[in-house]
Amino acid sequence: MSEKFEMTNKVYREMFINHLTFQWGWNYERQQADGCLFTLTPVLKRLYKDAPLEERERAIKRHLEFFNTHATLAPLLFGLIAALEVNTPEAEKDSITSIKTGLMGPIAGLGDGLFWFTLWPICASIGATMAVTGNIFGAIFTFVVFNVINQGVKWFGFRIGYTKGMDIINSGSGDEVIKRISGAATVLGLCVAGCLVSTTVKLSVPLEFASGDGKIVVQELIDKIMPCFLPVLVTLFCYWRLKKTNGKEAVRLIFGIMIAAIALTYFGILG
Amino acid sequence: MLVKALLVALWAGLCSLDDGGMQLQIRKPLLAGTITGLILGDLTQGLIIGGTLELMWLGVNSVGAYTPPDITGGAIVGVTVGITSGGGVAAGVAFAVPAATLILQLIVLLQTYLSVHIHRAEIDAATGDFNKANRWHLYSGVLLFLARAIPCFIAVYIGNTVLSDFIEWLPEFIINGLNVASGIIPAVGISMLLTMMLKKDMWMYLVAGFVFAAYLGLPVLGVSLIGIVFAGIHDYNYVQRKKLERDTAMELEGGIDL
Repeated sequence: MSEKFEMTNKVYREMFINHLTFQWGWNYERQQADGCLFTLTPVLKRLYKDAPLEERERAIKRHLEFFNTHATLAPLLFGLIAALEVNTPEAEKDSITSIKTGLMGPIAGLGDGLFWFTLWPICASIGATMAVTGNIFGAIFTFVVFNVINQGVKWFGFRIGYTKGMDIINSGSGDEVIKRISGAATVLGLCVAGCLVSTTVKLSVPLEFASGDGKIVVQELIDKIMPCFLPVLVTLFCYWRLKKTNGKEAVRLIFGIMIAAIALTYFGILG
Repeated sequence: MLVKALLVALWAGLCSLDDGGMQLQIRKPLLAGTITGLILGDLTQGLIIGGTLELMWLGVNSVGAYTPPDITGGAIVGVTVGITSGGGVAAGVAFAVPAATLILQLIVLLQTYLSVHIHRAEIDAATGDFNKANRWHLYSGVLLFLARAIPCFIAVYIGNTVLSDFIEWLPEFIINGLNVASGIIPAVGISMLLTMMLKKDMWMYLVAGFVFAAYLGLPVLGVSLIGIVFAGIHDYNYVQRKKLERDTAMELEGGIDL
């Protein structure tokens, strides 16, 4: 236990830089374990500078245990772990592992909800919609907006996690705060997803039948039921299949759609 | 072509490291594809194919135990084929999907092997030297770089003429069909998102988002802003409900005391 450890901007900076390699060694057995050790090394190296060999060995092995959480919110957790490492006596360091393991799940869920299901789909669908018309601003928009937020959260995450981590996550109301944020984020994400069904899924029927003087355009009939009726049906079907197979059928669905689209286009049913 | 192939390989490797580390998201089809287009001298096609693949793979993220197709390698190969073969979006999408599946297999192999590095690091832990244990983490990065750089190099350098011959040989109805398919496939990505997000008491927000866009014609950003309003109301209700539960619980306790 070193009393001399002092958190400085330099340590925060080193953690941030090390964290830029976070999942390079991702593997099926321990997942982000080596990234966890590497990110915490700037703290551990100083903390254990004069410690006996076996304590250093234990510290290295402690942070090579199974670890998996959301990369963008991980700094928050690492800040907290750093605070715990500094304040926990050597004999009780096992408790750090259990706190780490207990928090990595909720943080992963929260991060997935905020960043992968909300922020990225919003940034990317706006950018990609511009990009498909050949507009370079689409790519720039997505890159800048996403990264100002994503890298910013990582940069400040270490600081917030270290200084306030204990009160934010580990206090009585911590669990409640996480639930509230993830609930609100899900609502926002679902609204965007509903919008995406109508703006990104495109299919229409070019069939026409002669009837008396005029002709019946099949797509017009379908549009009378509701706008984007076919995209909704296809999305519901995909959702049903994916939900049933836990997402394992995604690749098969994509190939299935390709084959079905080629066949139906050949016979003029889709186009 | 060699120079271009090397540059694309370098870019693929960087995207690979981004996937594992920096998360600037240059690894996503939109950005990975755009820069690939720039390297190959057709920025516009890069944007169009990258953007199409981005929408198609919007919901594809490695969440939990699910390992998605490799959208990074897929986008780079797709854009390369789309540009060099002259086949455009249809050819790009057609090749991106199998390429993504193939490169995924490589990544799975690598990520199975990399647990060996953890065990090496644990052996090095006995020296008490943090740098020694950490170097295995950095070696993993080198392999991760190569896992996408090599296949993309092959696709650009060797595959170029072979692929364009193939595209020319393809009957037109297949290209048309694939064009139609690229409009439908985003449904898979969105459904994937929904399997993670959709909870029983929240489906009406999905309906609201759809109605605002499909019936009222609002763009994504507009719907997002309305989504923020809904999120605020949802949060308010949640807090009120919790408060009510707490109050009722306290009243009950009081009753027992009396």
